[in-house]
Amino acid sequence: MSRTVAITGIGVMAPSGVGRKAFWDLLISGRTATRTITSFDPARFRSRMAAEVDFTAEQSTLTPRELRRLDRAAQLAVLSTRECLEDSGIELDTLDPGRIGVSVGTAVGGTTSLEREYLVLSDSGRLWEVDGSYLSPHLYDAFVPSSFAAEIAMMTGAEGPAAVVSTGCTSGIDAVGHARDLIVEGTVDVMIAGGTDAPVSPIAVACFDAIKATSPRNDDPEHASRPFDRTRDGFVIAEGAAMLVLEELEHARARGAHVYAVIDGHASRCNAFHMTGLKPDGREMADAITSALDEARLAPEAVDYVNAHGSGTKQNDRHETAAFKLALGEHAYRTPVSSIKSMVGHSLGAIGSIEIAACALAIEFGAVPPTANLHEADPECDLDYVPLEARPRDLGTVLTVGSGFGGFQSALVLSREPRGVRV
Amino acid sequence: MSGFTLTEFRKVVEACLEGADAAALDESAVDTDFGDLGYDSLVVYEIAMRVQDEYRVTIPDEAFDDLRTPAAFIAYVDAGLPADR
Repeated sequence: MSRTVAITGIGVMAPSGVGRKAFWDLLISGRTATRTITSFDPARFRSRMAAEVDFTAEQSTLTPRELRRLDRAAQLAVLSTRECLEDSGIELDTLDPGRIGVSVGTAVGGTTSLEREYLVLSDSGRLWEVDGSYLSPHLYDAFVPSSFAAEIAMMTGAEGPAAVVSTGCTSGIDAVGHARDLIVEGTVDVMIAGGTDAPVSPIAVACFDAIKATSPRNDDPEHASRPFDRTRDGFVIAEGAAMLVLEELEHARARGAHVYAVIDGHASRCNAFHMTGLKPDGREMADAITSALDEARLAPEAVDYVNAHGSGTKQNDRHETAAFKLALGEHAYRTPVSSIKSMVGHSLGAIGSIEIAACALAIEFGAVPPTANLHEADPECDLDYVPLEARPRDLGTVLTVGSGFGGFQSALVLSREPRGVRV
Repeated sequence: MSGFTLTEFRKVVEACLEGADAAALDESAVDTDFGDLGYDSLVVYEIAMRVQDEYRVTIPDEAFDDLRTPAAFIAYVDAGLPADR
């Protein structure tokens, strides 16, 4: 008998959305969290904006040791995990620890900490043979991304499979997909899964400057992330995390857990084409969508809302529109599509999980978040992108997609549980 | 005053591509679209970054739409060379 995977807990650390409730409030409001970068002086960079999570580590529940030891992305993952566990009400210490696993998506790992540590050890780049007298015992965690999975395993007591999934901008969706696979195949009953990234640092911002992927609309940061708009000019980099409690459905029902949604299907493709380029027909993303729907045993017509990748680059938004039409046919024209990157920016390996959280909350509360800053759609982007204002809508099934540099294309399908029931 | 010609362009391309593809960049190729030469956007950006660094010529984002061939690129850079070069 096939196993079904339920989302029973959600924790979010998002720009202008610290915590699940604040995150949802932001999405429904249509306000944006994109600002001029505050964590360093961005003056010399081409894109000087980011969506930063507005909390100070010191004001959070992190202990002084955690503050010292953990990269900011790890901090966001830990805080999100605490929230999702509390939300789910699951008592992990009553379960077989070998049946609990961890799956964390990240694109850039502990880059921010590594950059900071390297500056110290190399005396601001002067010493190739770094000076060992300034070594920190926590340096390992900064440059080995698997440390994020280890941290979540240690804090939850999970002794099942623990992994970091790193597939660029689809890391967050793929980490949840991987977690789902482990539950479906029977290896575990519970997964703590999601994604995190804190890439707002000089080297990461420079990386995207070099390939002109980020918006240079520095004089208007609040409106710079404008997916599907005719005047879009790149994405706004962001930080954030979302962690979910995934449970086998019968396991969740047995303890009376609240189920936000079930994850019906997930699929991942690579376009085997180019580091940043996308084929205009969107075929590989369409394949991922079709495969995810097939796994969910759903027709395209079942989709009530599409949560887009919608990064706001010229290329992505056209590619994605083509993919939706190819995979969903005429139904693409009848289905609301929106991008929350318009509000919370693009947090690389985290955003896929943050978007899954948004989809689960959309099902829970019966509303579609808008695409902010969409005043004049690109003529080549001619679907219903829910401009500016959230829209109440009963959602039975939601599709979310991701597209990552390197050609990664992913799709994930969530449905209200029990499926097919309309409130 | 020295200008920016195919010779200088080839040197920059050799530095970016480590010689391999620059060999095909002769006079007959100057009006060939970069895409047809096998230079994708990332390669063109890298060439532009080196040129900006070595020749102190600014190439703004909006210029790239028109810089589709070696000839166009060379002409743009040559016209923008600092007067004291």
